[in-house]
Amino acid sequence: MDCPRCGYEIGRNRRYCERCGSDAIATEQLYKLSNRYYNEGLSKARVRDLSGAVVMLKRSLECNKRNINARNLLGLVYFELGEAVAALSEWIISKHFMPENNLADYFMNKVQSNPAKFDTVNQTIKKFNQALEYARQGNEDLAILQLRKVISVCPGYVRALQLLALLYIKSEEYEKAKRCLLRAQKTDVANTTTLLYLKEVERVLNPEGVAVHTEKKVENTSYHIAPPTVPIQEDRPNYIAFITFFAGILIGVAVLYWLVVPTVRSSVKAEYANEERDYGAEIASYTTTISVLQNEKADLADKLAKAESSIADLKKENASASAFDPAAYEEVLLLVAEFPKMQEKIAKAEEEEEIAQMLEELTAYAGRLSEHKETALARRRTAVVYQEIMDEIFAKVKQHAYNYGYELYNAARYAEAAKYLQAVYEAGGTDADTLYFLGRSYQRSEDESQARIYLQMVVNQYPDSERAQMAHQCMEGLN
Amino acid sequence: MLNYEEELARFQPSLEIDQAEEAILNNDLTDLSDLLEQAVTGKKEKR
Repeated sequence: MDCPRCGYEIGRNRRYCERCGSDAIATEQLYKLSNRYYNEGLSKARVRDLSGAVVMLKRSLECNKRNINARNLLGLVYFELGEAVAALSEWIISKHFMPENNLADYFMNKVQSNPAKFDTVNQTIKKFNQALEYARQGNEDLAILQLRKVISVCPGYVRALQLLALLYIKSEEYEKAKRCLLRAQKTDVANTTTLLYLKEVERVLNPEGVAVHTEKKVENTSYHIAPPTVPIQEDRPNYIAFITFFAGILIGVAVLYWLVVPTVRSSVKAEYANEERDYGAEIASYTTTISVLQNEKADLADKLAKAESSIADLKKENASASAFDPAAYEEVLLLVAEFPKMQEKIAKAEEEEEIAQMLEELTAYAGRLSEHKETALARRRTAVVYQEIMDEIFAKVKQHAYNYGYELYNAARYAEAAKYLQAVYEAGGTDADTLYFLGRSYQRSEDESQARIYLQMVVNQYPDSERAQMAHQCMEGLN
Repeated sequence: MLNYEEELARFQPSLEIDQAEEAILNNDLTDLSDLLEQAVTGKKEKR
């Protein structure tokens, strides 16, 4: 046989190992016992009796500390109970005894592969310890808060669930305590503390009978669990609950109708009134804008009409300008240039004969200027100058021009007479004699259209005068 | 009837990461085979 400790071959009838000196038979017995305890622990772990598994596995390791399987399983059970650090300790020790081909490597890599998760687990353990400290100091509320955080991160942390249940029992929140204990029982079915607390909670919640929450049979174990004895009660329909429910609905509807609906209606009305006010203000502003725009439109229409009128005038001017004769315009300019000299001469004349002569020259000048009337009026500036000159001349020589024109008429120089009399007419000489002799001069000059015009003016403007009758007779002689 | 104080006293703090090294080092790894060996060794010395 081989030495169980060092593996050295021992003779068949020898008890002690010659190399390590150990009692081979006793050691072998111990190793067998360790394996038996390991098997017990494994069986318990399989049925989730984790507390029982811990006890068996510890006994196994007490018999043989080098039982790698027992130590690895113990670490696994600790991890399932929420004791991560204890689990890691067992796996590290396991690796110490068997560095190669050890399942502990797999477990540790799994745990440490997610550093954030591992840190969370460590924080959870710290919170549990903090909660325990709060509970010992009498701050049950703080302890409960911390434990609830712990449970939310590690829902299977049995000791945290048990401590939380204990705190709930102290604060007489038995339903909450029961829920915690049932969750703990899911992880570790035969935990003594869990079962004890559950019994206490059931005693308070269900005083008629004792409720037990597990019926699992565990084979090959000396631990027994009392069989369940749950009293059976018939479920009766709760009429009062239905009646209360419907009454509550009716009351709620009535409250809604009498209190809430009018308030909602009034708020909606107020909202609509506000909107109406806003729209009214907006409409008023639009109306004002419309009236302003309409006024602007009217102004612009006036301006447009004036502009169109100016454009028409300018077009006429341009039309007349299209018939503009440069040579004739030059004549006009020369004539206009003569006028200041004539004004000097008139101013210097003192004798009556000189004055008369000057007036004659001026009249002749006006006649010559009037020949180029169209050309002068083709340009606005020359038109202004022309009119000014003619006004000044005719103011001076109107009478003289008439006398001279009359002399020319009597001298049968009708064309010349027409010029001078025309100048008198344009200077404002619209008396009957001027118009009559002007018409007669045109008639004698065989310009019947012009003759008719001025003779008709005599008839129209001076109907009761002798000249009107004479003009009427003359017109009868026209074609 | 549960005694809150007694039950609370049964709860011990869990090991934290920074306590792991100390826990491992202080772990008594003496098993029955070691005790047996010590017993055998002591017997031999007495002889």
